[in-house]
Amino acid sequence: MAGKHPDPDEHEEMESLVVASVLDALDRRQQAEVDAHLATCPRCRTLEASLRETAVEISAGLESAPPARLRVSVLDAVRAEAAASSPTEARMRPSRRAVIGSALALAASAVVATGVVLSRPGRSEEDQEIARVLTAGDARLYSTTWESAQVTVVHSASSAASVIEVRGLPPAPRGRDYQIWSMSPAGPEDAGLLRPDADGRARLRIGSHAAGGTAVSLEPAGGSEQPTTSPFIAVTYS
Amino acid sequence: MTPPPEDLASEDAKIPAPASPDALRDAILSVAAGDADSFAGLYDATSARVHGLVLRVLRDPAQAEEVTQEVYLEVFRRAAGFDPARGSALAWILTLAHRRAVDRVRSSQSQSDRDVAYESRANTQEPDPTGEAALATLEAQRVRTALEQLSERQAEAIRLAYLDGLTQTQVADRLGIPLGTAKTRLRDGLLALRRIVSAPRQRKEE
Ligand SMILES: [Zn+2]
Repeated sequence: MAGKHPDPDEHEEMESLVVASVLDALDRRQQAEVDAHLATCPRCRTLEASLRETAVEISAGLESAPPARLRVSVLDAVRAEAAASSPTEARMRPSRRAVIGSALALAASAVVATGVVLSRPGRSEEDQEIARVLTAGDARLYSTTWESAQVTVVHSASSAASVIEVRGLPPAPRGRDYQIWSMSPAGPEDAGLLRPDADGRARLRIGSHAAGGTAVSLEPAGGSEQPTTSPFIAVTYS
Repeated sequence: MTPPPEDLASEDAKIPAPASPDALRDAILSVAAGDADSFAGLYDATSARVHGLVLRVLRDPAQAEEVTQEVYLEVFRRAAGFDPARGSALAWILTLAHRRAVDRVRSSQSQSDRDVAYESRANTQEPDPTGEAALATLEAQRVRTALEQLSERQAEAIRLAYLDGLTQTQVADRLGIPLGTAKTRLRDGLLALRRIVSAPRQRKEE
């Protein structure tokens, strides 16, 4: 394969190979051929670069926050490597975030493949309500992280409800509470307090007629009628 | 514990938290210069994407965790080789992640072993029967959004190759179609996805 594609058929064949390469769908021998060609062909390199941007879209929507302990482990490994490779300069200092992560790692519990902890046997009424939301036909899942906390929200418009779950959320500062807001067209509506347990976990069902999202802010103990601080977690339903 | 900042703009934490491409690029460039805080920020901004992709390909939480860690070490080691002129930071990271996940799939077990393991885990795990199935359904709904605008045949071929980690030959076998047909579906599918993605999009928020 030369650096040019005089023949349209050959170009089409090359295009297929570049696509398969971007999808990692070639065996080793084919991959080596494509790599050799890419090294000499700017046109195919341009195609490859643009298709790699496209491939990013394939996994959009599959987000799944890793367990908090992984963050600690990754940052530790990177720090160790940085220290080893340059003993005198650029020695990495633990960041504030990493310190928070270390504290939480001690409490990190069993891996759950996805962001939502499954209900336990002997479920309460609240658990059953939560299961109803999770199993609703139109349920959609949103997840994000804040500092070391993992936040998952499942919203079902047909159930007029959402479920919010946090893991690894630090305790609210003394005299404060985390408060959940249901973001309705009329403005934020109080949806209860989020009180993480010793492991930083909490889960709550939110009744949310016509809500367009959910937010969490830090409020004076007991909560407020309206948010008095900006939400630090905000989920917009799409 | 540090309390949450009281006036952090809600935009910063919107879900799915989309770090701007420029911010990710700058973070990798800082990492290349040895800045630990930038690496933490880069991890926070991308780890759900990386882990989500790796988990989907491997279908095994323990392996997904290992591979995600390997990916970030590779990101760190290769940060100096990242060339912003050649593509986005997210594409660069997900390329490393996907390749490692696929390597792991192909080296460790056969595809069918993996599927069986996943099935048995999904079926025998104690708690609540609703949970795992409900989440699988949610996941399927979400991934459909990116691929749903392709023909079902193209989307299926891309899913098998990219998300299940099959080679094009395996895709053809799995679908019972000639290799040439599989290649065409993959090529036409990804090129169509590129057109869709690069077309002017409707605003999604508000
Ligand atoms: Zn070429």
